[in-house]
Amino acid sequence: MNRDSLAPGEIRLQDVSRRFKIVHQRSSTLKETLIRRQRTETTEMWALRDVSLDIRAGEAVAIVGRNGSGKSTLLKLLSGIFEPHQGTLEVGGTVSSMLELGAGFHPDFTGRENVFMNGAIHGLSEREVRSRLTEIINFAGLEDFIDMPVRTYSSGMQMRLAFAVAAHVSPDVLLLDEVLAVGDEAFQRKCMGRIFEFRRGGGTLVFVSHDPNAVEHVCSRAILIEEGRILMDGKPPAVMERYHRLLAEAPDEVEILDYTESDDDVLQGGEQSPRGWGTMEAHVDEVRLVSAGSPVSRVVSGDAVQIQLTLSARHPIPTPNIGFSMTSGDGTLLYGTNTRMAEFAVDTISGTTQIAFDIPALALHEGEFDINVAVVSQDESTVYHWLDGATQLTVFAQGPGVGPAAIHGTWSLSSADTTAATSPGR
Amino acid sequence: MATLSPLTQNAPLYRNLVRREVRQRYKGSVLGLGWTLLNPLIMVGAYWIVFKFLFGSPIPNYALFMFVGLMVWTLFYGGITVASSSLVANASLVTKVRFPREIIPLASVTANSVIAGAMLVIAVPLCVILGSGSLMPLVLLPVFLALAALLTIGAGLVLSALNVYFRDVEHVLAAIGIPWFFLTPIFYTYSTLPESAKSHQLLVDLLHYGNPIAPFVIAVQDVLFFGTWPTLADSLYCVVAAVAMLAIGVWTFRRLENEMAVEL
Repeated sequence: MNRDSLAPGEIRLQDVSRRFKIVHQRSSTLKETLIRRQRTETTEMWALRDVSLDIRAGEAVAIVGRNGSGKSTLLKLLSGIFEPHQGTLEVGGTVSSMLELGAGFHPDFTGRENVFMNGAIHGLSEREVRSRLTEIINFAGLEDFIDMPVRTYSSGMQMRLAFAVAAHVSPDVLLLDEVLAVGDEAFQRKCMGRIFEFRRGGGTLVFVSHDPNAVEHVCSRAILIEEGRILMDGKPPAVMERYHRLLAEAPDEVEILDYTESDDDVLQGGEQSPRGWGTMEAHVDEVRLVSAGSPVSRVVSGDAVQIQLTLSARHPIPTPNIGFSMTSGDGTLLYGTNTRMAEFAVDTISGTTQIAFDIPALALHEGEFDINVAVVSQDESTVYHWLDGATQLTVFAQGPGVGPAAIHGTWSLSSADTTAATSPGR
Repeated sequence: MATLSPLTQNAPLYRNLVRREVRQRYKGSVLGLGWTLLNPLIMVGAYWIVFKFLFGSPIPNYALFMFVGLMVWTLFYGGITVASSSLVANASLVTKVRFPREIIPLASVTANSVIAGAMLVIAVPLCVILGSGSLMPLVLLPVFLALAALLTIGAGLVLSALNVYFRDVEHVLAAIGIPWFFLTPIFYTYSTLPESAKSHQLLVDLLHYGNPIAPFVIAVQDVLFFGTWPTLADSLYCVVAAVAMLAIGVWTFRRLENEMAVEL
């Protein structure tokens, strides 16, 4: 690997591949190796396949991809922890990585001692660390704790300290792996500030993150990796959208909740249980979310979704009122409706009945939501079955913005004399 | 040696690792580094009872004699033991940060040599005061200690790298520690063996030269304790063994280094 032919901060990968052996029977002792010598079954897996990539000095590039897509392998190759099996990889100048913060922290040593150790890992001399020590401690906000052993720190405090050290090394290339997920908002702002400062100083940033906001804030370019190959390379919003689409399409174990229960378990009015409460005269057997014809638990904002309920009635129930609501993780009600509100007449139900609610375009932006369902009598005096958290729905953002609600709109600008030009933008 | 330039670049990391290892060993203990000396002194006391009092060894200043041999043994065996487990113990560094990996076993060997160094500080003045031999051979003491250190580093590099792939290495070392110690001339010399052993000279030679650390122990005993010049055979053996072991160590480590991060 030649690290000198490029300008500091430049990165060039040409047809880089890296494979891993998956040893089915891992032998980690000598005896096992000797015994198994001929019988060890290994399959090879390509963690990265023919990746070619040019990153200019001063660029900030986000790497996104699903777990196991190869993005961590890419970062490890860039940091020089592994070498590629094929292809060439060149990185100009010095590289500092924060792959998993706190590597090399020793719990029994004080924060101050660990700062020196961590600084040394990043290639700083004792003198360089000493000259930045106060700044590092202040940045981490650990003035009162710096002489206490790191084992007494919360994980957040450790992260802050590790980030503070790494943020005060000035490499040509900085590799970040999901670090901005740490600390409170104030600290995250500080980290962002430091990252912007680093970018202003002309440093190259390679950044692995799942957080679309962080990616769009920090990076001018995003690369989507899937199964070891570059799937897309472009502006962050477009790449993030494709990434979210990929996540939503990913086959997953869709939870089909089945609430059938033995009769002795039947709970009588008002009692709480994980399976909901009510008289169970009418029972919610199943709640499923269906999109594009198949059951889902994850969708992209704006997708068409159908909520399907399967009910069984122990005896004919005249004109039940069937409803659902969506709540965010903290229990805030986002939307709720029922058949009575919608003036949708449901005749007497008996036996098994299916009822569905069609959402042509889901107006949730992003987040995880609970779907709660209920079957009550028309006058709401009897609760047949009330089920909070019947199923969960994860929504991935499409387009910019934050928060649970998808409020679509465009920006426009007009001056006081009303004949202003509008600029479409966000 | 081409390996030296990245090593000087990473001097701060090396210094920090050594400091950490030395302090870690005695952190939280009341006597702290005092254990460094208390341990060998207790051992010497016990062996004195067995071999001087019960078996009547003819060697004068027997406790000091054992102490000198024990110092070389500590430098070597202690060094390769800590080195062998060093990479596995620092797996989080090896898998997350790029730096020349040999720094880790090197720092372990260095931290361990602090103990041997403390023993040396006590042994030298005592040998000068109590010894009956010449002081001239003392000039060779630094040479033989340096050669022993190179031998230790070489063996440490091999064992640390192998231990990444086969975790048995550290267990094997622990298992052979005591037998090896007894087969090394630390509390006896080959010249004070009983007649029954002397009649099997071939076997004695095998014990002498088949044990890589034995000639080092004997040479240091010669120059420090007995105040005599070491034999040419021992001296040559030390030079060749140290250089060869270091070369083997560097070569093996280079070969195994690349895939370490994957294996750990």
